[in-house]
Amino acid sequence: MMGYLIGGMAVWGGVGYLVDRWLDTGGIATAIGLVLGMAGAIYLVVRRMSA
Amino acid sequence: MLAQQMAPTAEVPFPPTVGDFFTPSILGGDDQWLTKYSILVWVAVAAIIIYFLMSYRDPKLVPTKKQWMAESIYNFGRNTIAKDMIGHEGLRFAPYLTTLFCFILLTNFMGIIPGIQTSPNSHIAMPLVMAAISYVMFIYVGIQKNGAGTFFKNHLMPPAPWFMMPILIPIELASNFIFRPATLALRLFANMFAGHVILLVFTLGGFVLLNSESLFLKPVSLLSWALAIGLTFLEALVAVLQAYVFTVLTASYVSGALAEEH
Repeated sequence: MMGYLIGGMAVWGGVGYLVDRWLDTGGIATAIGLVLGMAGAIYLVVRRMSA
Repeated sequence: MLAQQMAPTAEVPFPPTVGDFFTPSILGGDDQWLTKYSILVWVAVAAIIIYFLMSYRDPKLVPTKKQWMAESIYNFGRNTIAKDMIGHEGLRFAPYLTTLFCFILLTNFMGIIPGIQTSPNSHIAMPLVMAAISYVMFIYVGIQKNGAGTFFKNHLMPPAPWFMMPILIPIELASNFIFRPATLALRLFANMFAGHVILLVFTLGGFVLLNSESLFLKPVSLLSWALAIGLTFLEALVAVLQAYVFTVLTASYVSGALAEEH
């Protein structure tokens, strides 16, 4: 479960960071990535736990 | 660094550093293969083998006290961990899980046994290898049971609508195949490492306070040592808990790998 939460933020935050580096957007993409990853991870935990 | 360890009374090596975890080689020189830690691992392995051989040498239908002790330990691994976590199929993993539990428990307890007071698990190498074994095992038994297709489908495709998949599949991949072994190893390592550092801080800190100039600080060393003793009992709890957690998580990964559908 912890793995999902860390994993979600790490993967999509990482993607966001790379997009930031690429497009020089100064941290906005990282923030969007972190939120997206967190949301995905929570969604996954809820799905996995209730299934 | 060696001189500091040899003469702690003259000049207390405070605060403790990571260097305290790298004991000098017993053979002398730069050969690092034989240290206190390698000997502790051998002792733990030998102790477990001898203990179980001794207690099961002459098994009785009505068990003697020592046979009952050993059977209770195995029973814990077999029924409480293997059977409850994995189900009936889990019985064939009971020997591995029990061995893992006993080994981690014993090596963790070395962190608080007087005279040893350091655990081999406070080196990342030990938990890392054990996590690697569990990692390879759950992937292997999953592919063996369900085939590679179903196994990876179960572990990568969550039960979710299709438009969520691009977000969820990378998370599943990272959490199941990267963060699982990493957290498994780090959890045990960090607990044992931090526990040892805390005990060092309070024990050595007591000496530092005692040696201090101020008359008010000297009695505080007693408080520091009292806390060190209290924390040793806390470490006993942590030792059991972490051994249990490591084993249960391994069982849970195997159980997930053996499941047919989510």
